[in-house]
Amino acid sequence: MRQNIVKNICSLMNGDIPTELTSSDWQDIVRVARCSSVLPRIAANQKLNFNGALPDYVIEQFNAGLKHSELLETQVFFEAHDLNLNISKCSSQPAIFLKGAAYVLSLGSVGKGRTFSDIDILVNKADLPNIEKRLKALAWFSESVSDYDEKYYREWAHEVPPLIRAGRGTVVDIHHNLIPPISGKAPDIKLFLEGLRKVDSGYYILSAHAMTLHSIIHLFYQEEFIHGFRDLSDLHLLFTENNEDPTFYPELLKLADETKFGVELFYACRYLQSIIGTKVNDTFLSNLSKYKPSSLKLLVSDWMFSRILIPRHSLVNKAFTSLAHQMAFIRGHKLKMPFNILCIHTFNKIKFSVEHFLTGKNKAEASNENKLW
Amino acid sequence: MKLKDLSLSEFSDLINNDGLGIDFGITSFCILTKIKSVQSTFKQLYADFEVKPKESFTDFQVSVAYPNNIRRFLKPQVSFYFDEHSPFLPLPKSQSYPLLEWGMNWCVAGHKHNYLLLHGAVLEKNGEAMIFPAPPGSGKSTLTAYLSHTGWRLLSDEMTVINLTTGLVEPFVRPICLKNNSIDLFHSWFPDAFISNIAKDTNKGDVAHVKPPIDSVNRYLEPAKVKAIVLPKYDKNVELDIYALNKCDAYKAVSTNAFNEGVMGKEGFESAVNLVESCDTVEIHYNNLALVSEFLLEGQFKP
Repeated sequence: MRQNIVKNICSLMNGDIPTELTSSDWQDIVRVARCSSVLPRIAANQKLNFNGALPDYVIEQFNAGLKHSELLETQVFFEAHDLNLNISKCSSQPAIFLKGAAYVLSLGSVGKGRTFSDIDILVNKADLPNIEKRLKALAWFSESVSDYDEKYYREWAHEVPPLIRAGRGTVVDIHHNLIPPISGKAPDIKLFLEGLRKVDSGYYILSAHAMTLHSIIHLFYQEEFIHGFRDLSDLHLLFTENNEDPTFYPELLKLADETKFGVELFYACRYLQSIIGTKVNDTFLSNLSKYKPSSLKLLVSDWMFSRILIPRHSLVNKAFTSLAHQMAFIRGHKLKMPFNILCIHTFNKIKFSVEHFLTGKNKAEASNENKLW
Repeated sequence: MKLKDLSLSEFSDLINNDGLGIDFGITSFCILTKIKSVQSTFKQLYADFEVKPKESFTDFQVSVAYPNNIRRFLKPQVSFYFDEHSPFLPLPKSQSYPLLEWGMNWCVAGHKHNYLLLHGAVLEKNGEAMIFPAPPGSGKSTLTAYLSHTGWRLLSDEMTVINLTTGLVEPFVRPICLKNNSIDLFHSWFPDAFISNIAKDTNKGDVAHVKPPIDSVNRYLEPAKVKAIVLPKYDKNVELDIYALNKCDAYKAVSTNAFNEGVMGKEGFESAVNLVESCDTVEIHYNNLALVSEFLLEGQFKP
């Protein structure tokens, strides 16, 4: 039963509408899709095919999700214009949009119905002071972060503290690399910039293969997999969209080779096939087998990723799902920080949470948590 | 089947375990809670509502429960859950019931985008509905409670639901949320009506919920034509003053009280404009509810 819910969600994403479902089956699908943020994605890709094939009460749920993502789409185009214009005036390279915003701006299927909370931009590190100064003058302010967090961002991270547009509340994350340099694994960013695309709307985004590899790195370097399934479905759509392009697979493998993210690429293809049933090019897969980890490592990875890359909901959770998420949390930190830094980071985070426990959360944090609506 | 027709064991089995499905016409909820005080208040306030058959589709699965931490033994709090996600910070245990009601409103306001949703009450008499869009503190709920117990049909207290295709206003009948002094006032006017226990010191002050009249609940599927938008402003020094409201100001009142006009984009804007243009619009300053009722029935809306 529980396997069927994920299976049905995957077929809906592929455009196949499952038949002979009862109303409680549909309810399970809606609940799981909603909590894993793929409800609008299904709705957007299926917009025209729904009528008549689904009960009205289900279509209503899908369409409601779609309304939010359509609003988000409008907002992304609006903000992208402002950011693009101003960054181009004070830096040596144009603003390159990443992740969710790039998916939307690309106008591809991966951007349709994709929800996210902030706009990610990649810039040249040397231009950062100018860009921050200019955006600040245009009412993009960073929220007050603790001294520790400020140090964390400035010394170790691949991005500056998030900037929030006063009045509109839009959040922008400005990156100078794709993962924290402190991890020792940050790639030579120039390699990712080859084949940069200028989309019809005039904005710059990574080439299809670089965008796909970034999406993979982002997923497999995460500590929290609350959106694991949605992120995996991003990859599903990126692979599906580029499946017929003869240069896509060779370029993807080449970039992974050069930047040393072959293992992550291997995992991505493995779980795309086993969880969503994505079609991946056979020659590519056999070339990729050089990155196959040892059987023991693979056993552990399979156990963990099969739990954290599916939607997180009690209707579909497998046994020990929480344990798998905890393992992933530790794994994510270990990947991003060398051991000594991890100790300092852990010590600080524990110190702050003890302070919170004793004195209560401060107002700023409490209001942030309440911002959901 | 109505909630009051369920046996006590059927009721507690549903609300404790699988969830109790309630049909509201425009939407449906599946409610689950193990908190006894919430169960009994819910059972009384929703006695006349239709229960959905087990296994049928409901829009929103909601619950109120104690969060899982050691605080529950010191100073207990409750959280509202929409499915498995809690959108708000927890509140003190004494506010469990209002939290459920507010959470249910939050679900509808954030998801039912096939309707235009406004913060406002709706009452109907002789087939003509009045919309009272208003922010908290305008006396809207007191007015609603009064009118709904003096011959007007209650369509809703908190949420005005406009059907985009027909332009009619759809009922979303729920208990009426009274605050502070109006709780005692209402009780003195209508001693027989059922009012829930008072939850003290919420962020709206003291609140209590009034059971909606049975006739209003029974007609929960019956939409109504909008006759007027009436902007209520309680003023203790004025018995009743009536001002014509031009269409621009009326639109402003609708738009500032709209929950989802922005999310709906062009469609939202157009339906709000259509609504304002299709009915009369007035603003009233009042302290005399009987006079208000009389005006609404017999008054001249157009200047």
